[in-house]
Amino acid sequence: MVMQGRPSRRTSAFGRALLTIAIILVELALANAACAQDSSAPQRVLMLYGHDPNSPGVVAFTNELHATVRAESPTRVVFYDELLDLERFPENAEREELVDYLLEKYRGFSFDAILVDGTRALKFATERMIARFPNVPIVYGLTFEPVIDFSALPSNVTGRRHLLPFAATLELARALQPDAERVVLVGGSSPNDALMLASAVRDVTPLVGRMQLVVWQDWTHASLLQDLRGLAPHTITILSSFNRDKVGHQFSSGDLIASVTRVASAPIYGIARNWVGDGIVGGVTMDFGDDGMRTGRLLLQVLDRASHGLPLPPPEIARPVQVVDARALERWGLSESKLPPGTGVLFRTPTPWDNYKEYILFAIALLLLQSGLIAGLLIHRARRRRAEVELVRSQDSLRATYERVRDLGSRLLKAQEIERSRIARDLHDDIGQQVALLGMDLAMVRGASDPAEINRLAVQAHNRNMEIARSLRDLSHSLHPARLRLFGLVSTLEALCRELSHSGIAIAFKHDNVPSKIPDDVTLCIFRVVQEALQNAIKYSSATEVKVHLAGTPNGLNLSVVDDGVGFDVEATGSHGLGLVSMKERLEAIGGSLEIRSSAGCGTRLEATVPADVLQRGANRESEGVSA
Amino acid sequence: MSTSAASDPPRVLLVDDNDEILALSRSVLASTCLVVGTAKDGPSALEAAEALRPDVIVLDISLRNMTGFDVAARLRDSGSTAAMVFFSLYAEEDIVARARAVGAIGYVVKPRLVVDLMHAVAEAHMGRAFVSPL
Repeated sequence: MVMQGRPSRRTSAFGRALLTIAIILVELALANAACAQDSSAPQRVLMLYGHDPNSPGVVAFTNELHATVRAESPTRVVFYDELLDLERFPENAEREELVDYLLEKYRGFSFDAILVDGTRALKFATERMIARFPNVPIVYGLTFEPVIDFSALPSNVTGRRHLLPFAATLELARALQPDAERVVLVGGSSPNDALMLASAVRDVTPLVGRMQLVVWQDWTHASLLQDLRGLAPHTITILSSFNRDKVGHQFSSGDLIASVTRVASAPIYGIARNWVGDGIVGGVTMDFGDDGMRTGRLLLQVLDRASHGLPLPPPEIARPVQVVDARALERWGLSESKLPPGTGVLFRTPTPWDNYKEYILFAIALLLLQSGLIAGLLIHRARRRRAEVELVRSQDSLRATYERVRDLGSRLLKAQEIERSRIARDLHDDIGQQVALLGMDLAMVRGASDPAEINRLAVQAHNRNMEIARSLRDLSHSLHPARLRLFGLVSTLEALCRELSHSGIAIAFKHDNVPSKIPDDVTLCIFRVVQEALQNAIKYSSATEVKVHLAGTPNGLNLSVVDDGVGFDVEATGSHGLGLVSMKERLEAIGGSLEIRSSAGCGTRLEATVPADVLQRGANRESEGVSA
Repeated sequence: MSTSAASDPPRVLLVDDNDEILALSRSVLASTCLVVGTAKDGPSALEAAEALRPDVIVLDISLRNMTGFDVAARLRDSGSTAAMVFFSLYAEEDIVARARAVGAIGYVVKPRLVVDLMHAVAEAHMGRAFVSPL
């Protein structure tokens, strides 16, 4: 067992050694790779702060600078920060020992560029360091203090500078406060504050015009706040830099803004972008954050060009940002509409629309949908009600029609009975009597022996037969106008009018352009209508004159029957007179129409119309029952 | 087919929708005329007239499909030279006038058929008018 165990342990130790070597090799490779990725030589930038690196404007500058360099540099850039603290110790700018210190501190260490913050730091760098750090390009940013002649900088210096925007800020303030009577410039007591304030006074003086220009410099923090509380209305207050008050208290301008604006009784304007939001109305401002980003890019260009021995990019002038705070505008009742075009408005209080746009849209959509549904339901209900009303009406109409038809039916039956009894009476009283007499004549012929008597009786019988024939013909004619078929409508109407004129009433018939071919049903219908109208006129109207006019027109056939009689109430009689109803029914059955106009004492005018298309169809159709 | 001479008995076509009237007319005319055919409606009357070329056509006014006036007008249009005599129950003057207007030369009212028809046909054949007393 022991013998077997030994080689096994040896094998295991060998394996572990191999694994360890492999791990070491891999780690070395990874380390090499990491070094390669670091490009082994980071670029070094000596950063000289002239300002307080913790003041808000410098923080904004530095943050943007570092972010831009980190994001956009192909190589690693390492910053070595040195605080000159020139605000508090302006004399540092003159101290050669400081340069000695830096050289000593960074002995054996080379920089690829020196980045300076602020004009004073730039002045220090150009005056003291160029000779001691030869061939190191200098880039400046966040420079706005008027302490150096930028046109006289050496060729290995480039950067970005701001022009102090006091004049433009006053113009913006005047646009917002056109009725301003006073301009107050507020600046601190440090040498730099004094320089800035002097620039401000120089810049705004030409623009003040009739306004009073007041400069506040000799204040303590407490007195400044007191003075600001008592600012007269119609005052424009512009803040310059204030790093120190008259009793030597140090500030960072950016830190003081909020407390100053909070107590002010008139609008306050400023020249730094990072002050906007702390209570100032706004201004034409220096944007140090943007400056940091652009200075970062410029630095990268400088590093790149310097490493290739190329000349540095030219200096740049930062563009000011015209911007206001919507909350401050509202506080001072300043109208946004007075802002010059291109002014940015920040901190606009979001409206409910901005905050709840999606919800509002959703609610509106929901409301619309609901309204649509309600409207749909209402329309549906209205339609249903209309349909119900229509149904009730049509039921009423149907009932009325049913009543009318039933009434008509009963009256027709009655009329039929009357007509039948008339025919029966005619047949019995007239024709029957004559047939009986004819029978007697014939019987007498059979019994007679005298030829003369026989002849007389035969002639008598023959004449009686002629009478019977005439009576039958009259009866037949009264039942149906066979003449219609033989003579046509016009001729038959002429005969009818002539025939009825005997009743002590003058009936005139006139016709124009009546077509020669008229369907038999139309012919019969018109005849019956005229017949009925004339009979009515004779029976009821007491008319002395009736005019019947039948005319063919392009629209069809027009019939008018006009009498000068007593007239009648059409509405009252319309549905009750069997004659009127039958005329109407007859016309409607063939597609025509009837109109009767009459009133008591004004005669009656009946107008019937048969459309042209009715006359066209079946013009030759054989009418049943129209025969002699 | 040629029109027979005036001395020959006239060749007659009888048109009426009533068989008894046709039979009576035939017997009334038998002694003086040659009844060459009868017809009971308008279309057959027109056919018979075309085929038989009678001298005289005796025609009822009231036929089933066409009126006697229609038949007369069609005969005239087709160039028939036959003399036409209407016989009818109608005894009105305007109907007689209408009959004459469509070319009839004779008019007999049916109750006087036995008395007047033979005479009316003879007169028509001679080109003379005859109208029953109305």
